[in-house]
Amino acid sequence: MSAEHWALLVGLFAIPALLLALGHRLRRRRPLWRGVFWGAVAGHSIALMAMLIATLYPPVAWEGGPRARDAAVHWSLLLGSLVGGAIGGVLHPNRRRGERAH
Amino acid sequence: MERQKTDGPKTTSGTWGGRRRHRWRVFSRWTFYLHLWLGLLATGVILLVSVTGVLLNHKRPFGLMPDVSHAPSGPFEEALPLAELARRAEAAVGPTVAAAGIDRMDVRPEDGLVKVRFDDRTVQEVDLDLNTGRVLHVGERNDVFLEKLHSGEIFGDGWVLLSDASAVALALLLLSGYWLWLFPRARS
Repeated sequence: MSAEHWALLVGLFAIPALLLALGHRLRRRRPLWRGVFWGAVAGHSIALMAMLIATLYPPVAWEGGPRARDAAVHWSLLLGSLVGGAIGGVLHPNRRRGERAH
Repeated sequence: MERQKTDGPKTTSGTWGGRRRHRWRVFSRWTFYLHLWLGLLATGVILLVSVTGVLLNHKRPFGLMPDVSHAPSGPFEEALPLAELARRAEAAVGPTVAAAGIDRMDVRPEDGLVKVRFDDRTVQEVDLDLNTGRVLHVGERNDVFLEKLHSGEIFGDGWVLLSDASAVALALLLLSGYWLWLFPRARS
């Protein structure tokens, strides 16, 4: 199995499982992790829509087609949640509150 | 105190009724977690299978496959040989698509046509008159891609199991969802 197939499987199953585990008793977690959680959830949801569109439009096989479409189908779920999580971690609630106080 | 006596015979872990209630609670808790985890893990695949399923159901109105209406132009016995029809189809699609080879030829005697499907990336199909060899239509068969995506076959041979897993997951989600809806208090 190729790296892109692994990326698809991880994005499709491992990331949601990880998010569910992270979401358990979310209010007791540190603000940083809450930010990561919500960022990754948003990133994964947006990436899921992007992946669906890339998969189905145009309705022909992506192999041998534009490289960007091929990458969007296989990598968007994994990268979307990682980027979303990173953004959420950087902009986590305490940090924002701290900035407002200053 | 009188009421306790009517609950049933005492055991080391409580009354029979209490044990039964405890089992139902455990079962319901497992059902809840099954519904939660399975629901989240299967979201992507079920979404993909659902969308492709709807598109496949309406493939003709959505223009995802050519819909050529044709009447026979002669008796079936006088139809051109398959090799000749294949040659004409190859000429109609050009050398690039023809190089991918013919996947299948679908002969329709009642419509007087043959559908020649190529094995290229876009799955080109040429519809030809069986008797005259006239090209009736050249276009993509998008439904072939959608079918492969629906079954998971597009990712590789073993990936049909992914589609099977999503079907099993959907059935379990239905059952667990019904259970949680019908007996919402059993868990607490």
